[in-house]
Amino acid sequence: MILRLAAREIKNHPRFSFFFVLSVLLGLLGLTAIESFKGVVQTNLQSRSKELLGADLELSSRFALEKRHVDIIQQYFKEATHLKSLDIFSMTSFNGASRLIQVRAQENGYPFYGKLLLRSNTQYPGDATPLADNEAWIYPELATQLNIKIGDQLPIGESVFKVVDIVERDVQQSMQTGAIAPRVYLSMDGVKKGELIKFGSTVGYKIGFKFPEGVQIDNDKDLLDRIKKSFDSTVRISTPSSEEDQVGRTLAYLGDFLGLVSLVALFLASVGILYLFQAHLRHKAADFSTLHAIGMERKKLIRFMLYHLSLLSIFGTVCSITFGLILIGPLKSLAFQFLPIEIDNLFSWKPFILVLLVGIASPLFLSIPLILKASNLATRKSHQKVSMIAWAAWPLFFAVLSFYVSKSFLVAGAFLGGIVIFLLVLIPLLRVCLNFISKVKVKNINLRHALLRSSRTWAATLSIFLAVFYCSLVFNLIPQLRTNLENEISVANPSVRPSVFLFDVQDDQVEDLKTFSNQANLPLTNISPMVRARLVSINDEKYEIDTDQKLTREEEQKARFRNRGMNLSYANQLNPSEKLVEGREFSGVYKDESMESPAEISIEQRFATRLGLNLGDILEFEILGMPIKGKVVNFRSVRWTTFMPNFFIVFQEGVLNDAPKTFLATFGQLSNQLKDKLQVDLFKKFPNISAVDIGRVIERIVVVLGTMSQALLVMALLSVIVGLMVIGFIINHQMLTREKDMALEKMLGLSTQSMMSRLRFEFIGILVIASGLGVIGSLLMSYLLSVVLFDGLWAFDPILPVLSFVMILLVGISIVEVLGRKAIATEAAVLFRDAD
Amino acid sequence: MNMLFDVNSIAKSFATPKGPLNVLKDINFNVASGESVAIVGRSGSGKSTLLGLLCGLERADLGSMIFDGEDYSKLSEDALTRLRANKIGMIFQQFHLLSHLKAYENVALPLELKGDRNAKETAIELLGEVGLSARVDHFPAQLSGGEQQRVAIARAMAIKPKLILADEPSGSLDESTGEEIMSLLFKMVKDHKTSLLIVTHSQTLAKRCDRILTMENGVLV
Repeated sequence: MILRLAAREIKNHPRFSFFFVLSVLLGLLGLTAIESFKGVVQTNLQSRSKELLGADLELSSRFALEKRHVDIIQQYFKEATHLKSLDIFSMTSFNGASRLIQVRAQENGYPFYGKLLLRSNTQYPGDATPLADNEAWIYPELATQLNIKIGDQLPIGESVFKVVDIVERDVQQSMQTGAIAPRVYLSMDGVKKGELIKFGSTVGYKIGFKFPEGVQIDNDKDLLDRIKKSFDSTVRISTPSSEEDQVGRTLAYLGDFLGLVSLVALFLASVGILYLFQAHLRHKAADFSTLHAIGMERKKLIRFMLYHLSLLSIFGTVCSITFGLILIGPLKSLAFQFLPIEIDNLFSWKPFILVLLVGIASPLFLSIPLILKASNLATRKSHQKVSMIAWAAWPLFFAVLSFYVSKSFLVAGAFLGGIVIFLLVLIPLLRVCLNFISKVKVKNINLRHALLRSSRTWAATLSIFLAVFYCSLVFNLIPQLRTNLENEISVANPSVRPSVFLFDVQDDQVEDLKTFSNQANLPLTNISPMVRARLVSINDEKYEIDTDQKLTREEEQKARFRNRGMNLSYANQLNPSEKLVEGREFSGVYKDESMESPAEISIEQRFATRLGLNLGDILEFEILGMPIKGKVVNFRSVRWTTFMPNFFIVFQEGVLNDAPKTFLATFGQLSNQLKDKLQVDLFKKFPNISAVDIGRVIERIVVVLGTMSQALLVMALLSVIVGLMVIGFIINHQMLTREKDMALEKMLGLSTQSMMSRLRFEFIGILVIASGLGVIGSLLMSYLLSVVLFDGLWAFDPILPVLSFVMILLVGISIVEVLGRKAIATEAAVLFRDAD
Repeated sequence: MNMLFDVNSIAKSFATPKGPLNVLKDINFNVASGESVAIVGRSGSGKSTLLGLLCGLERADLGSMIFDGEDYSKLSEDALTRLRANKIGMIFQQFHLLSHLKAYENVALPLELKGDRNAKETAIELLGEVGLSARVDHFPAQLSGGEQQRVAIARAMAIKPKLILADEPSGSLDESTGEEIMSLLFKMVKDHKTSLLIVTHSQTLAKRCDRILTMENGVLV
């Protein structure tokens, strides 16, 4: 019976029902789209995780993997077969241009899972003829960039390789380096023939294992744990599921952030729902009293309201899911930027369950205190404590949801912190301001009454303020951050930024390289030694982290950060991109011949913060098995975007000079023509030295950033639409509640123009202030973020704030004008309705 | 006797899906200066429509209404608004105070609209006259029904109107409070020599007026 009553209630109040459903629909739309998209991506990755890795288990290391490593795995899986592969950066030159390439070589038959699709319409492994030691398959990007055709001879290292095919599809392609260093496939013998591996070359050695049918290592965490413990930290163990995480990581981060922006929409929609439902309950107060008077108990009354609300929420959620599915299409184009696989329409129920849960629970938690209050009013009972406790439910729910969506305490904390700061600081502050303006003596009667109205109907004023403020903040912040990032990457210190970055320079090539640059009159700068090492301990405490347990995003990052090898360098002084932040400069060259006293080391400040280091701490490293101790004497800031060789850890001269090392170097500002010529000449003279065209790197970063920020902008736009809708609801509701007041004012002699002026003063005033503060807030936030992330390089683009301010204002004004005129047109006879 | 309001042969109809509905038919009456007139009639008899016409919020289809020498039919909307603002006070059954304004602000509002610089002082004085000196700073929600109607009376009297139109002024009050408030209203209109036109169901209240007009099916009988 109650359910029937609730259903009838929906029919009896079509206007309320429509706007409620619309709020739920739009509030959830972003979350639905993002969660379903994440679900589709995850399902795709899961179903193809073996293809992504190419094996059931893979060992990888910067050091050559040996038989003993294979033996360890075969202790656990006797029947496992294995094949080797390796990756190395190198250079190639063709048609008067040269490019950095990523060479991948693999033993015949590898990968075990997944195939390379070649232009000749053959597959490898499969019907494609394996590569001979003088043959290569290349990525289409390289073919396009250097105008290479099948049959051309490509010089790589000390040899020349015939291009026999072009790779059309590679599940294991590297998205990060794809455009900067296109991949070239060689045979293992080809790598030897080209003499690509020299001392200090950055090689990724891999051994893939194939287990007998049915053996799934991801299902046996204990075994995986034991295997991991059998290796030292220089060897990384990847499984299909870890590879799936690795491949989807960038997209997962983006998805998490998009999810958070979608929560802004949900938050704003919740403000709208709260406002709408409160207005509805107020309108229905007399009916509830009547229902109670004719025998409906308090519990039933509450149930009636809950059913009503739940039915509307379910309907809104189902609509949202339906519309959300449509958005997956455009979002899939995003995946192309970050995933090596094509996304099939694989279906997953999980996200829909989440959205359904949120769609029902959120309005419910939000409305329970209102329902309790309404039932108290109808039954003349007081359950204030319960109502107060009920108010805590929704913030708690939202906090949990934020964490779930972002998978990060830090990000969710910052997100919630922003909202809480707004609620706890700004609202009381605004109330003080409103209180103040109510006392301001203003001569203009319309303005005075507008101020009185807005200050005394503070809940409505603050709700509109909140919606406009968040709209303006979100709408402006994301493009502003993008401008900051682009500015930081593309224009920061262009005068000192090099054009070409060199790595894998051998110790014995440094002098030749200097001669080469002098002869060609090219600015060779920043020649920096690089020594591979492992950080073993800090103040005698073990440093590495166990990665087996379930970790949050921050914990995963921390573990990855700690467990990888480190590049050390040594120097006399700071380079132009570095600044001493704390401590002192190096005292000079290290002189202790016994090597017993720790050497002086300089640490990059954020790295030091991540490690929790203090000045004077002792760090122990291991370089090819040899322990080296260092004492922190200073922290320095580094502007990484200068693209100079920089290191987290720099030793004073005299300690690492004899350690096995390679060098990094840069060539300063060069014209494009000179840059191309340099790369070709460099390749001819030093084929093993890899050169990165920094302009190309920047281009790639800007493209990726553009895609990411576009996705974020779309989501932000959704939040703005929801926000504007909420503004519309609140203003509409205000107009409805003021119908009689306006009629009365008309009766008392207030002209239509004066009434309109009051509305403009009041609502447009709020819109201007809130929107302006939102813009200022977003600029402030983007500034703070730029200080934290980019050492204060803040780019201000005046068009964005002005655009968002004007846009929100125009929409707001339109709403006020349309609804205001409608409300003013109300017949004043409404005041006599009670009499006749 | 000096006539303040002359209502001659007015008629009003509304369009309905079933054709025009004649709500008022050939209404004729007048109100003299300082006179109190009651219009009584059942629900649906057309009292509200008549009130809407009398205060100039709606226009009659036929007939003329001359208030203080001014013909409604010849006045623009703005002129009608000015007329209301300067010469007609209104009292409603549901009081209709602006909830976000304090008692004295509600009373001062019509004065402010006229540009009175002493609106606040006059409002406080009037609230004193209606016995609410101690409640001037209260919001409507903090006042009882009787007190709210007192504020409404003070507001109606604030502009020193020539006519007060009262729509069931005691309809939302209990009997004794209603008595009390109506006594106050009659005292005020007498003291200020204001005409009073009351629309009511209550015969008791109607009997306190100088004249009673009865309305039935849109016609004065």
